[in-house]
Amino acid sequence: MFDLSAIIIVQDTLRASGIKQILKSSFGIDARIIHSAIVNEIAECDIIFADEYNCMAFLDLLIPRKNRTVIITNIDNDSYISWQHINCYDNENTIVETIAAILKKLSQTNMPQMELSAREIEVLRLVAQGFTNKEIADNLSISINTVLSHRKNITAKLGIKSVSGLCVYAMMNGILA
Amino acid sequence: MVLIDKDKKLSDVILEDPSIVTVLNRFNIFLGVGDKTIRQMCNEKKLNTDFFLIILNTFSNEEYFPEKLFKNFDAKTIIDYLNCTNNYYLHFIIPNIESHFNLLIKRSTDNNTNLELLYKFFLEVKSELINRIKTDSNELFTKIISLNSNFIDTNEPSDEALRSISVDNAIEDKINDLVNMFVIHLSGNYDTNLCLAVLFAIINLKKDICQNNRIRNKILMPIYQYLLKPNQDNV
Repeated sequence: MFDLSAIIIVQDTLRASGIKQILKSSFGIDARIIHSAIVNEIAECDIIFADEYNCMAFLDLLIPRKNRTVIITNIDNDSYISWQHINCYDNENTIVETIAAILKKLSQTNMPQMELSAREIEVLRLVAQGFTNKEIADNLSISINTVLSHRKNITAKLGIKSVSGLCVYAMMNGILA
Repeated sequence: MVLIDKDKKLSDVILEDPSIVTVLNRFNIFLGVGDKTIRQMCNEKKLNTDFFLIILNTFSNEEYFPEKLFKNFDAKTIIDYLNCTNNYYLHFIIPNIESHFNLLIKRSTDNNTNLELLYKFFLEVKSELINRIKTDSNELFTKIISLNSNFIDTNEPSDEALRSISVDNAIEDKINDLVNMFVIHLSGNYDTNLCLAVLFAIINLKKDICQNNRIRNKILMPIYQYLLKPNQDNV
C-alpha cells in the first residue's frame, strides 16, 4: 500500500474509472478524477495520470513534474518513450506491475526539492538553446541578476552546472526537443 | 590521517584502498605484489621511493597535499608521472567507460534514449579531456622540459599552452554533471550491473582527475611560471 495522493486527467470516463479502480484495489490509493489541469491540484498531488491529449494540452504544467507523471497511451509510438507510461491495451497484471514499479520509485525519491518552477524551466530552455544571460534577460523581461539567481537555483536543484549538462537534462526531460 | 610509510607492505596498502592499484600501474607495478615493502618494491623497480610515497599518500588522502615536499622534485619527475597518468586515462579508463557504455545502451531493452543522451555527453567530455592531454603533452610539458634544461627559447609560449595551465575546471564540472545525471536523473529500464560499471568507472576518473589536478595546477604551474621568469628576462 502507498500513502500517496493521485489525480487522473483523462478525457474518457472508462479509462479514468479503470485507472481509479486499479489504484484503489491494488495500491489502496484514492485517486481523484479531474477534467482540467488545475495548477494547485497538480502542484500538491504526488502522482498524476494523464492521457496523451491532456499531456499535450498541459505540457507546461506536466514537464516540470515529469518524474511524477504517468502517461496513459492507447497506441504504440515513441512520442512518450522518455515519460513513464502505461499502455491501456496491456493486460491488467502488466498494468499493475508497471504502476507498482513507478510508485515504488516515486516513494523512494524526494522529488519536491529538485522540482523546477515554471520560470526556471523557461530559463533552462533558453540556456540549453545557447542564449546568453543578457539575451535570456531580454527575452523574459527580467534583470540579469534574476537570470543568474534562476540559474543558481537550477544548478542547486538539479546538481548540474555546465551548459552542456543542462542541455542534456533538458532533452532527457522533454524541455528541449 | 595515517600516512603510508616506506616500510609498510604494499599488499596492505592495496587491501586498505583497492583503488590505489590504478596508481601502481602507472609505476609499472601490477597485482601479485607478494609481501614486499614499499622500500623493497621501489628498489626492485628503480623508483624514487620518496616520490612514490608522496603520490600514494596524495591519492589515498584527500586532505594530504605536501606542496613543499613536491617542490623537492624536478619538473621532469613530475611530468613523467603526469604523462603516465594521462596515458592511463587514454588507454585504460576512457576506453573502459566507452565499451561499458556501448554495451549498456545495446542491452537496454526499451531503447532508453536517456542513456544515448548521456553517452553523447560523455563523448563531449572525452573529446575535451583528450584535447587537454594533447595540449599538455605537446605544448606545456615540452615547454617546461626545455626551459628546465636551461635551453633559452626566445619564443613566447603559445596561447594554447598558456590556456592549458590555467586552472580551468570545465571538464571536471562536466564529469561531475555526468555522475549526478546518473545518480539523480536517470530513468527508464537499463542493465543494473552495466550501469554501475559505467558509473563507478566515471567516479574513479573523477577522483583521479581531481587528485591529478592538484599536482598539475599547484605544483607544475608554479614551476612553469618560475621557469618563465628568467627566460623572459633574457629576451
